[in-house]
Amino acid sequence: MIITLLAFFLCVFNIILGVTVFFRKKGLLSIFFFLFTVSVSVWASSIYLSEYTLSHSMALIWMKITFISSSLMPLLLYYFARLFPDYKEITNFEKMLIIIPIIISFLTLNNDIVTGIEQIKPITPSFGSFYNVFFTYFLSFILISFFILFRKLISFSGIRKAQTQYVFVGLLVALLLGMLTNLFLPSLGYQQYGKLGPFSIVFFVALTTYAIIKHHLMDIRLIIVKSITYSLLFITITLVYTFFIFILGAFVFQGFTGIEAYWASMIVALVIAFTIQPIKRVFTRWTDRIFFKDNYNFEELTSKLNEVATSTIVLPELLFKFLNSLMEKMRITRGALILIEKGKIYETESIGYKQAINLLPKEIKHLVNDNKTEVFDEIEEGDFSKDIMRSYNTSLILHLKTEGEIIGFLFLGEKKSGDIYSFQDIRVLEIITDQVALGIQNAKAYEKTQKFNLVLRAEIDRATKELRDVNDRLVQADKSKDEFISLASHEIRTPIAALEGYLSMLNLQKVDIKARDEIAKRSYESVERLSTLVKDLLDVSRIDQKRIKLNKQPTRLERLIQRAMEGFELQTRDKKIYIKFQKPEKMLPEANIDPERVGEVFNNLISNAIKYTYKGGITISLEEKDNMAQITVSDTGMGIPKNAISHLFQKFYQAETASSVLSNERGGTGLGLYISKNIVEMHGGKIWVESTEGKGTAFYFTLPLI
Amino acid sequence: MPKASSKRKRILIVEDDVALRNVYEMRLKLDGYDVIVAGDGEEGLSIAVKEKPDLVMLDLMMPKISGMDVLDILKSTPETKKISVIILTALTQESVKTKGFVFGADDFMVKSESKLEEIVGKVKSLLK
Repeated sequence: MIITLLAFFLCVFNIILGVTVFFRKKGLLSIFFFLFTVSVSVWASSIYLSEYTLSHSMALIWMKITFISSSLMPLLLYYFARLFPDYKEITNFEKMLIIIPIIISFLTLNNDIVTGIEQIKPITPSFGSFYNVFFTYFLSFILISFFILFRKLISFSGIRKAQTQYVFVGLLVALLLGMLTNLFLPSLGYQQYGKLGPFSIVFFVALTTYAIIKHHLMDIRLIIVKSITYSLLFITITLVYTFFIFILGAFVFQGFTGIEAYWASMIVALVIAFTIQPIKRVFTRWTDRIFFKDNYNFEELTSKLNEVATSTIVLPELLFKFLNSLMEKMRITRGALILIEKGKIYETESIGYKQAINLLPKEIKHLVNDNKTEVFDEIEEGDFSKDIMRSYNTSLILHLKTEGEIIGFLFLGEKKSGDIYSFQDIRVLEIITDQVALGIQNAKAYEKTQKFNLVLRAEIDRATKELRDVNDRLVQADKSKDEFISLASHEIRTPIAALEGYLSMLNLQKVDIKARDEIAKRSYESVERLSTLVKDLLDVSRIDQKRIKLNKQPTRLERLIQRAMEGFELQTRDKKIYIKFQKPEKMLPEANIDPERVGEVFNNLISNAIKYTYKGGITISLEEKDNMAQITVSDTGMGIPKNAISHLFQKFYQAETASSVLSNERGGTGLGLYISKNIVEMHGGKIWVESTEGKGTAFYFTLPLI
Repeated sequence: MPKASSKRKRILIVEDDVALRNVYEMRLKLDGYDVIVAGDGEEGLSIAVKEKPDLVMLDLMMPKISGMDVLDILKSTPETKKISVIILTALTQESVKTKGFVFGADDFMVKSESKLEEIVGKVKSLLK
């Protein structure tokens, strides 16, 4: 009795499994799977029901049902094997094969396979001549189906291989056992094992279930829950019905017949009709409590997340709020949102992760290319996605998409309950991520506008500052130009005033011949100074306007220095100081310079040195350093005060002299060093000075050699 | 006009430009003055204190100590207070002129606007 009930429950469960698959996954495969479970269930049921018949004729009818249902099984299995796991069509020829079970059914009905029942306990049928035809058909189709599945098992890889594996093993065990108990043993005369046959379904159900759980073939929990609910409902109602009939029969309509029986049936039918809904609800609540402890309400979840998506436009806030609500509602341990842009991370937000999720560019690239929801348990070993998920301790990766473009990922750790993500969970998450992606996109656009605003402001500030600086420089330049003009006019005016004074003296009576000579000499000096000054001013103006052109040619510096020195011989002799040239030990290569301009530099430096030297003398040396010629003009003069050195190369600068009266030379223009510095620098050289007050000064400068 | 009597008048020229200094010196010597020269304010001040000339021709823009400071010191020191000072400058601003007179300058001349003979005339009239 218990075995029968168990088998009955199994049959119902089997059918409901088939039905659920049929409704959840549309397609030929599901139809065949469903029909297969139906035929298996009918076959199993008929075997058990036939146990309880008392008449030979009833036993024969059950036996016929057994054969008709089992005649469908091989063909349906064949179709299933052909289509599994994801093929869509079978050929017309294969469709035509349906004729075989039809013929067998006719033969069965015509008593050509089972001719009669020899004995009821246990049922012992006598087989007709066509039994062998049925046997051959049954065996060959099952073998073909297995062969097909086996071929697929070998050629497939990855998840399809795993799926095929479980289905293959499940069917193999189930059908081998079934064939053993219901085909081979009966044909050998052992009928009593027939009722064990249906239990072979257990293997099929168990292994298919395992395949489903392990590989998300479908949402197994929902299916199991529904199956259990409906099985319990079915059995309860059956028991209630039987109980009522029994009560009514025993106490109300004792030994009821005819009309009374109809009344009883009607009452029971009414009771069933009114109780079915409440009972179903009770069962649903029970099963839900057991299986969906941490279930969430889809409507509630989406409306909550929608609310979050529209509550703020500030990106970091949005990311955090979304993650937080999602994890709270779905009871998830860890979660992270990673926004990407142009293959790089744009922004991340994570809750519960111990380490930061800094996706590498190649990881981003891989995930973008994969472009599908990644479920850790479903990915086979060796896949890069699996490595990524393992390294970030992540169970699920969803893509955030707007207008087909991936803008980021949602990383999720496992659920707090430790359950796997169901098919439904993933569907829900996919819908949610689509919604939030839109919100994120908006927030991002807003953020970018704001950032752009900041950039713009910074740019404006920078431009304003630049304008102000340029203006300051212009004002400064204008000021220094004014200063230059005023200084220049002062410098010019002084020798003119002197000249004027001398010339006016010529008219005086008291001026004698000797005085006239003096006047002429002094006048000449003033004129000379004036002309030097004008020449220097022109040079400065050319330098400032960058109009000086160098006429470079290979020049022997030794010769140039000697020629410059010759011009000062008279002055040094008058002043009783020496001037000497320390020639380099080895002759230097020629220099690539403008000899006239560089000559000016020598003149300036030497005349300066003479001007401030009263004893000792001037030494000029030349040497090669780092492929450059380095010239030194050193003197034993009064030196330059430290505070003056930094101003030395400025326009119109003249160091204060220790005693102006002693320096009874022609006054400098204050432009010589400025001009010299510019000429040297135009040649790509450098000029600098070292000086010790009271001891002397040395000017150094470098020039390029060929 | 050289004076035959007693001692010759002494004039100190404080001027940093050699050419100008030479012109003034030569011209004043022609008139028989005893001329001393200084090239900057510091030198000028020390000579003025030591030699106590009758008149100082004072430039303003000079290294070390400016002419205005020299004037201030000379006019506020009892021993040198009586020395006549003619400011002889390139600066044309009215404010400089005012300041010069406030500090006690006896005359004020702008170099570029004054002929040599005018300057000599001023010196002569101040030394009478």
